[in-house]
Amino acid sequence: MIFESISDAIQMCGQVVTPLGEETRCRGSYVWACYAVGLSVIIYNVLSPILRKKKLLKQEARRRLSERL
Amino acid sequence: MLNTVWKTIVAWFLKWGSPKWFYEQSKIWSLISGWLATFMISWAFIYGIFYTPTEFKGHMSRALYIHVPSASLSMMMYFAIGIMAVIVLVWKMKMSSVMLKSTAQVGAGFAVVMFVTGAIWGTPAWGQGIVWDPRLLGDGILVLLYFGILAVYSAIDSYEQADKTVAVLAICTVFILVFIKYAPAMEGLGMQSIHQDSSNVYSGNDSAIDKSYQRPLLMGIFGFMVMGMSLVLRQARVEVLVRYRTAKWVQAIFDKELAKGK
Repeated sequence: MIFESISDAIQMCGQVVTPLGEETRCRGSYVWACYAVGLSVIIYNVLSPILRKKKLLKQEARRRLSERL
Repeated sequence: MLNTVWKTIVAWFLKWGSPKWFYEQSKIWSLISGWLATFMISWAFIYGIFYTPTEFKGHMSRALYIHVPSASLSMMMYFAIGIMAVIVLVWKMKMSSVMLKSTAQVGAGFAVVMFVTGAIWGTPAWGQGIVWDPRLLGDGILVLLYFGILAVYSAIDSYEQADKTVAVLAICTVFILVFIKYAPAMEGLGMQSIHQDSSNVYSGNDSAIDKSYQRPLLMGIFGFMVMGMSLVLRQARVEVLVRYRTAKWVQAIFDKELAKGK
């Protein structure tokens, strides 16, 4: 592992080359935001067929009920 | 001998054109690819976030392992949409229109991931989230095209009409992928790109990038491909039920599921 501790891994501070020379910058919030966006879309894609199927079954049950009436 | 093997493969492939066969057979494939993708992607992300060295552009380069796989997946899916659009218009196969819609539904999400992670990465790296360099422009259009396809599906009630409209739209616009792919290499045409030209990632020992970056990147790209397959199959299974809800075999499935719910 590159990081020494968990807080290190969350903050991700390191040397960055800038026009003014080398500076220490922290990139943790940006990197973790990227992975949060990606994982939330993956989770949405996993859940959406399940919810669609539930909705479809509900509609079908309602349709059958109205047909019987 | 070879002829019979080929004929068996073709016959097996053509069986997938039937919605009923598809619904019966696809569950195991979506499960296998889903679990495989879970392992591949978690390996790639954990390796990418915690173990890659920082010599290459600092810690911000860790966003690479989600930005590039989602970009390549959304582009590959649009290419698949283009192929299926031709099949929908020419051969009018039932399953191709189902897959067309499901692929667009999944691909749109990953086009958004590509765009948003790129903007987050650009904020510290380029000093501005969105710079309209050629590749970013093409990707912006790709996101809009995906949502255009989804809008057509929600606007037109008839499945056949919606499929035809989307197929024409997809065939007319699939060439945007060529632009996105080669935009950084088009400097000779007067385009200034901030995105770097693609490095030779795929070839083993001749690769331009070090193994410590190459391994999680390749694992991420292939993991996303497998995940895309799983997610599209799952969406398509529900889509088949929605489209053929009046068919006898779907009614039998409803019978079973509704009895289970009670």
